[in-house]
Amino acid sequence: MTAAIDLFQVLLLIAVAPLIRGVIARIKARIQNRHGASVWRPYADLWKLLHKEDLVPPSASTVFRLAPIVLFAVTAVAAAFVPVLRDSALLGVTGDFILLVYLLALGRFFLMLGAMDGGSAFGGMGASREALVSTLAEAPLLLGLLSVAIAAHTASIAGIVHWTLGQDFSRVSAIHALAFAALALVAIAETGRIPVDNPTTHLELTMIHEAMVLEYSGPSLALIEWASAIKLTVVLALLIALFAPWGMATTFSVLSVSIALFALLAKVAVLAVGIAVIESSVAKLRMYLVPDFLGVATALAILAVVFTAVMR
Amino acid sequence: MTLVASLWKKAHIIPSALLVLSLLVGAVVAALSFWGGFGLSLDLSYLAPFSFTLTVDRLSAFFLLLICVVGVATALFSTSYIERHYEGMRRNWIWILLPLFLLSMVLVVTASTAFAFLFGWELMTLFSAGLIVVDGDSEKRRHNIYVYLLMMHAGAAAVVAAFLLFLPHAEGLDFASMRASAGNLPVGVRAAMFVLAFIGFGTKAGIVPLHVWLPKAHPIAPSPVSALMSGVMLKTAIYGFVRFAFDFLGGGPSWWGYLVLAAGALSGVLGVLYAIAEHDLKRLLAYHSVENIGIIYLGLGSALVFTANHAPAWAALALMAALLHTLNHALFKSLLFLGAGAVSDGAHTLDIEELGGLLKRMRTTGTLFLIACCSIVGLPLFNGFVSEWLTFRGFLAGAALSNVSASITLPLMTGVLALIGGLAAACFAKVYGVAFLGRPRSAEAEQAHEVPIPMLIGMAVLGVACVVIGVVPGIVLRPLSAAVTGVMHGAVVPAEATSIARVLPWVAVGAVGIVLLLVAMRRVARVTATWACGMPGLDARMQYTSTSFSKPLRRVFAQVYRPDRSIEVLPADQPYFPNSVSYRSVRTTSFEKYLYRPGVDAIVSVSHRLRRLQTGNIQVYLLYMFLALVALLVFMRFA
Repeated sequence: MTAAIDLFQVLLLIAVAPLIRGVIARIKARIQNRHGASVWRPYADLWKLLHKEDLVPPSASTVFRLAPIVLFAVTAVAAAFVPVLRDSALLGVTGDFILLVYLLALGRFFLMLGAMDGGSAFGGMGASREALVSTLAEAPLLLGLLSVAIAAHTASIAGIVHWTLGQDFSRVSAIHALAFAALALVAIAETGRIPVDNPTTHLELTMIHEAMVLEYSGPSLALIEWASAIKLTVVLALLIALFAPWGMATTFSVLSVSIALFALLAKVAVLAVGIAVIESSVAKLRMYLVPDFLGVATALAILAVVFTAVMR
Repeated sequence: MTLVASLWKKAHIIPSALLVLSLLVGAVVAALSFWGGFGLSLDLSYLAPFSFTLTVDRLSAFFLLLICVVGVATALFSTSYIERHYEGMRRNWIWILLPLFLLSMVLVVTASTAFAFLFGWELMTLFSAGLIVVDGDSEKRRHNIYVYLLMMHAGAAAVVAAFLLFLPHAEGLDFASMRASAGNLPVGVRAAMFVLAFIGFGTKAGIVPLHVWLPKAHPIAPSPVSALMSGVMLKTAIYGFVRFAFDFLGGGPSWWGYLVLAAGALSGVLGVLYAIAEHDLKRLLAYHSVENIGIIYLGLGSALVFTANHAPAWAALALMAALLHTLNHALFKSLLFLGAGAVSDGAHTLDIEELGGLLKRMRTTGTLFLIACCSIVGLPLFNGFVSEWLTFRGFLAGAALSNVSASITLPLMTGVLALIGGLAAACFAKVYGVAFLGRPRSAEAEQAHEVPIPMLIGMAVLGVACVVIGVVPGIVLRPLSAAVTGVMHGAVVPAEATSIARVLPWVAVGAVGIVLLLVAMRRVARVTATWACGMPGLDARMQYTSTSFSKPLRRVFAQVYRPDRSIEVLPADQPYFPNSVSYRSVRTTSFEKYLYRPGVDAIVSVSHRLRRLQTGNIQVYLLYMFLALVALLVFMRFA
């Protein structure tokens, strides 16, 4: 039965991902005094794309068509590492946060290759910029996760969740505050949101992710869009699991799982509003300011790790 | 007559078949010893002036296996590669030197006396230098070989000194008595030994700043030889260092660990940064060897820190991480260098700016090269990830040490390793994207062709090994933990070390399952021209090049590169209407400029001064002799 819940968690993350995008877009529209599209719009987009024809540039090799598939597959598998409703996940070992980070890296590596396989200038440009951002995001990401793991005395995400559930909310430590700040900044960079990248732009001066996927169309594009939605959801779920897991079910009963589901919805809603507010109030950074942005995240993450030794 | 001629043409089959066969036998013996755990010993002292004994324990068997497996792949590759690229005497020389080179490396890892070890150590340098000379000896190449030999011998001198320091304390210079005497060594002697071994083996391994020979020597050898030099020869230095620091000396104070960690961090980050700026495929790969040696040293360093802090189990885990990365690097780096050989065979250039679109023309080579790229970047389901994961686990465990400086330093190394991983991903996305994907950038790349079957088999052996270790690492982790237990004198590897082996197969099943499902579901795609913003079509020159791809990273890390740039606009008084604009950018690595150059200049100037002693006057020489004799007598009287 627990295995069924763990599997349900994964499918939930994958299925609900486009909705979260839709919700963020809707809140953004409201903040900007627009009516905005329906929150179900991303599903309609995916449906439309999945029924379109797949167009491939003449120079492209197998990698071009394989990249979206690999990206989707590894992102979906990465979702199996994050506890959502209860303090366990379908797959998990000690040190699985490292595996989670590198699975996302595997998907990104293939997407960069797919972009360069298109043979136009945009793909290379997007891949080059993505390489810069992701390279500099890797260290703060792992350091931030590591500091939380050290504080919880366990290296598995489920273990960290279990430990945090046993703690008192009021006794949240400086380590967690620093790590959350660092990981929130990294999450913005990793998922390609403002101020690092703009998911809605199509202007060559500013785009990173969009430039990479410019040559994709039809079902391939649908897979990429869905995968990037899943990635956003996984990152949000990870932040929730590490820093605010309260409400998750520790025992199995219909009641506790329903409570966990509602708690999750509330927490995701808070994060979505936060993202929408940031995206509506901050301008996108120049690309060469992104290293400074991630430098701040790195400094915070290093401080968090140092504090783990000091605060014992 | 034609029969003789055709036999003569095929004559290389015999030595290459013998080489492959003997390497296979070696691999089987090593595998039996590595998995089965039995030892072998052979005393050849009657052949040599000093005691000359060969022994295979589990650690030796591990390195022997590495040499033989990569050797088999390289030999298979060479049978066809050498025939296609070399002829006459040069071909013969390669077939003579290649087995000798392999044999010298086997000698190094099986020797159990100092003499046998050093004998193999020196032969290894000489045979590899010989193999570089076979490829030509222009002025520039001779300079590179000279730098190589010079640094190797300087390193060897340090290794010899480290061995000789055992003399007053050990019964003999065989490994067993050196190991036994380690407990009685004075602290100062131990420290001196460690530093000498660190410098001596570090020179061979190519740690920064002792790496300057590596990007000079590796790229100019024939590709199979580059594969052996980078994939295998560097590993003998790791073997020597592990023997010395862990097996003989049994670890030491914390600063040993910090020294090795610092060398690892510096080599890792600088190696990959230098690689990003390169677009000569083989030089780029050589810099990546510096990077990966850095990762191995990060593991070795944390093992030393754990030993100093009395955490033998975690020390064993960190050492296991370092050894596994040694094996992994041997597999994927050899594959990459063989792949570079295949590229130069198929497209006749190694400048990636001239390549492009090779995957369509060299399907198997391209696929195998992609496997190697994913492995070296350390992505899951490929072997590089497993060893990097173990290294990360070691850093994480460091947080539990009671010593505060250790419990801060080790976890922070996570950031360094993550940065190295990110930079490596950027670099190999560049390499693969520019060389194998997109449109061909030159006529040569347009007409590239797949290489012959023996070369493909050689590469496939390594590619399969990379994937197998990446998906089911348990098969190597178990015997390796036994080998580490032997080196660490009984310390058992923690159970967490193998937890990754349980989950990786499931990740593989999940990911491959989804990929297969989606591949089965996808429909036929329509090939159509890319929209070129309304202009008449795209051409290959509009693609991102290697240089443009790496520009943002080079700009962010500009402090590392410090290029000397100059733009010349002619005529100078008309900046807006120039007749010609020329741009020049020269990159010299700071180490050559600021570390080696002053040293070389100092030696040269001292030598110039000393030349005055040599007057050519016989009476003056007699005076020198007389003074030397007097000094000796005085010294003997008072000493």
